[in-house]
Amino acid sequence: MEDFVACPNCGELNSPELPYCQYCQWRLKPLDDSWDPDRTPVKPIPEDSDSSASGQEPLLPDWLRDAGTSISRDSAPTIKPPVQPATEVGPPASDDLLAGLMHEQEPEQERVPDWVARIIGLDESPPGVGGPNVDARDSTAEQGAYVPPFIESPASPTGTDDLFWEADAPTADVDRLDRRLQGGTSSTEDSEVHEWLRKLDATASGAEERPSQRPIPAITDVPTWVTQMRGVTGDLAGPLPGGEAELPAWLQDSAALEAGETRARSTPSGEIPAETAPEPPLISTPDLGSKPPEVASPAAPQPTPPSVPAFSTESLDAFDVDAVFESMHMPDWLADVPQPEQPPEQAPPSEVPSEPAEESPMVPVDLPSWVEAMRPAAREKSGPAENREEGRLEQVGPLLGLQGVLPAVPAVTRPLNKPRPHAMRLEATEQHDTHARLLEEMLAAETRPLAITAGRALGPQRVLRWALGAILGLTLSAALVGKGTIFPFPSTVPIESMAAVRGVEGVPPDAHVLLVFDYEPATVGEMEATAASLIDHLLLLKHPRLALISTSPTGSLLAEGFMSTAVAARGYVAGTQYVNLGYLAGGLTGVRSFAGDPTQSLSAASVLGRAWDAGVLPGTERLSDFAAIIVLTDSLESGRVWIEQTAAPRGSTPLILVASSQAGPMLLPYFESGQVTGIVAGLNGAAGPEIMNSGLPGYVRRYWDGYNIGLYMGFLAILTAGAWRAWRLYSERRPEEI
Amino acid sequence: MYIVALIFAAIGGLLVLAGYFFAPLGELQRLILDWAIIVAGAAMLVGIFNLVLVHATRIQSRAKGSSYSMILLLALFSTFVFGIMLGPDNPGIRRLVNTVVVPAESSLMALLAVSLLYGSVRLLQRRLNLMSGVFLATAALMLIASATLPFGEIGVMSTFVRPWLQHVLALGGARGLLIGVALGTLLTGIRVLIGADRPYQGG
Repeated sequence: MEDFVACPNCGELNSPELPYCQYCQWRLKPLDDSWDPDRTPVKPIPEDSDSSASGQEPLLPDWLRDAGTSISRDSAPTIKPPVQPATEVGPPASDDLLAGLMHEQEPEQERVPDWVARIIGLDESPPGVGGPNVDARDSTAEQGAYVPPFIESPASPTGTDDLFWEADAPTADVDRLDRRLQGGTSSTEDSEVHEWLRKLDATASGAEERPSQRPIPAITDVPTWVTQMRGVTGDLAGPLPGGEAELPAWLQDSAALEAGETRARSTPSGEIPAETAPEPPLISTPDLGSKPPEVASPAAPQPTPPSVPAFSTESLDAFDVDAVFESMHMPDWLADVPQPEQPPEQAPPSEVPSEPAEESPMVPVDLPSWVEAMRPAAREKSGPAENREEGRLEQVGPLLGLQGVLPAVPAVTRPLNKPRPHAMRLEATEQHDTHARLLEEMLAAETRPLAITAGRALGPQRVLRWALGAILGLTLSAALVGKGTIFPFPSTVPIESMAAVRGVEGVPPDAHVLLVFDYEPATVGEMEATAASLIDHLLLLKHPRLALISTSPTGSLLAEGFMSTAVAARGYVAGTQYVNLGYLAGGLTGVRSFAGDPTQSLSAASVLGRAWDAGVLPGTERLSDFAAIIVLTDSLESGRVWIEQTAAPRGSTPLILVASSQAGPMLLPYFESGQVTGIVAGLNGAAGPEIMNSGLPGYVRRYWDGYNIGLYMGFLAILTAGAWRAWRLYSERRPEEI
Repeated sequence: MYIVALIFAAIGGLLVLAGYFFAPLGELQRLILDWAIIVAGAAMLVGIFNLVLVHATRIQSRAKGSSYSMILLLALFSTFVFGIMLGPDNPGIRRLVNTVVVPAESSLMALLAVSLLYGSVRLLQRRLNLMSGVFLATAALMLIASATLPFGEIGVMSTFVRPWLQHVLALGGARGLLIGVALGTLLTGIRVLIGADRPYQGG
């Protein structure tokens, strides 16, 4: 069976070869894979760094320091040092709450906290703190020196010697204790709490006045641990003067006992009386030899003697306090410092219960729940969960001992090896299959080569063209040569043609009429046949004077040809009955200019003496002076220009259009809108005017048979081609169907 | 230089346009239009000169077909000279036009008729779709409706189909084309006036 490794973060099981959790990407292996936990011991972080970082007393036992840190723990990770093996000096940690104090003293002899120093008669107040009238306790609070709460806490109201009387205290007291664990003590709280300690200090001050050889009365009710801590088995000093009644008996005795010992601590530093200064402290400190700032003041200019340990460790182990005091060598400068009188109210707090007895077997008591919660055993139980919250404890490399400094980021800590593939089952419906099949067919059709089919020959196109041309030529030629009347004129005359005839008939006799020849020589046959009957009808009925003009370079020649052929029967003579104004250059611009001032725009023709100066057009200086304007055009553009550009200048002068079959339908809107009087479009439109003109000059009739034959030929050609095409399609599809 | 041309074109166009709406500007409008007519006539002379130059070059270089160029130049100069000397109403000039120019162009128009008929036949073979069918059907109806039978008219065709096709379908389409042409002309005129289009600027 395969082994699995539980992720410390999510608890999921992972393969042992995976360096990271495949669920939460938590690192399962340390950074250095070559690290062997069995080979490399884990080194805890030094206590100095921890204590300095947390600002707490380094000499506290583990469980108490951890209790403080657990309460005040924030985001900053804490390092749980490995469990130290129990020494033979102290009892097991689960039984002796103060065992850690003694245990920690040994490796921390290099640094003694202030409160311990005060207990043992040494003042290590930093420079600038603690003047002559400043209470040493307050200075301790200001310096942030840590005092164990069970020492600084007020005595039990009942005077009991139980250090854990606070188990019955309300929650506020617990919080106050927590605050002390975190940031030291407060001066105000100290003033309220340590009243009994002040009394004790006052007792100690009073004891200073007594000779040090005063016999200490025997105390029978001193707690065992206190006597063991002091190394005194009941041979203590006598009762203290004053205040003994308020204090517990054991505490009074203890205060009397330590009155002489703590004099140096209870008095301001640098002012220790000479007669009390030589009392040795309980614990030697390496800083004793260094000159304190207060001592190094100008008031005490004596040189500092070299640092000499006050007593050895062996003497401390023997715990013979008296011997220690006697063997302690006080420096001269300390002995020479005068000690001012200590006011009773500035008595330092008592340090009676602060001295842990190295070999004091404490009686197990029933601890309150909050104390139990702070026990190291409890933290051991919650260790894994804590690790999961705070991160992994680095056990190798430069980050050794740090915890949670390298959070597992999935983007960074991606597993190097490929994760285990997960089988995915695609649930496809029939519709999906159909779509996929269609897509495959489309892709296959795109890549499939197409067979190039040979293009079918278009057939004998040239023959077809020649055949069509021959048929049209022969039939039309036969119709023209025969001069027959096979096809009769239509019985109905178009409306526009009738309007044109009426417009011509409305021209006054002998009036001036402007004829515009705007067609090309290619349409001469159609245009002359279309216009001949209408112009002949006009000349026959009204005998107008004509002015011929053209916007086409060949228009003037075509106009002369029209007058000489189409209406030759009317005998109009150029320069007498009509005048050819020639070519009007400029197209639209020329038409506009001519419409604005006909005489000015044709000044060149006037210079030649062929127009207005000939006397053909007297009194026609403006376009509106003409009785009618007849435009012969074979294009939409020309007819539109004459209609639009002469609309305003011509006024009410009728405008009649003679257009080809091609341009006639396009000019019909102008007739429908009233801008044009009438339109004669093509032979079909000219049939009516010719009929009304008594068949004169007969151009329409001459072309009518050929025109109709041509129409039928065209119709039959389209019909035949359609039938042929339909048969081809039918013949092509029939074999496929079969 | 383009700015000067633009300014002249814009001012001339605006003055001519204003002449349509304000009578006092009519004289100025006509003056500008007369200048335009003169320039247009000169442009035709320039075109004639360019035609002569091209064909003269071909004759000088003895290029292929230079003989046709020589005939063209001879006809051009003879017509020009005789036209100026005799005038358009001269019988000789009219005969020249009626026997050369008109038959040539009319023949081309006749060929156009044959080509259109051939194209309509090939249309069904080349592109057989709905629009082609509609186009040819309309043409066939107009042809048969415009014609008369030897024994008379086809009543429905001459009295209903042809007028309806001509005055409804053709007229509607023609109106649409004319409106489109008018709008296009208006837009072109505005673009020329504001200088967006500069046809006078050249290639």
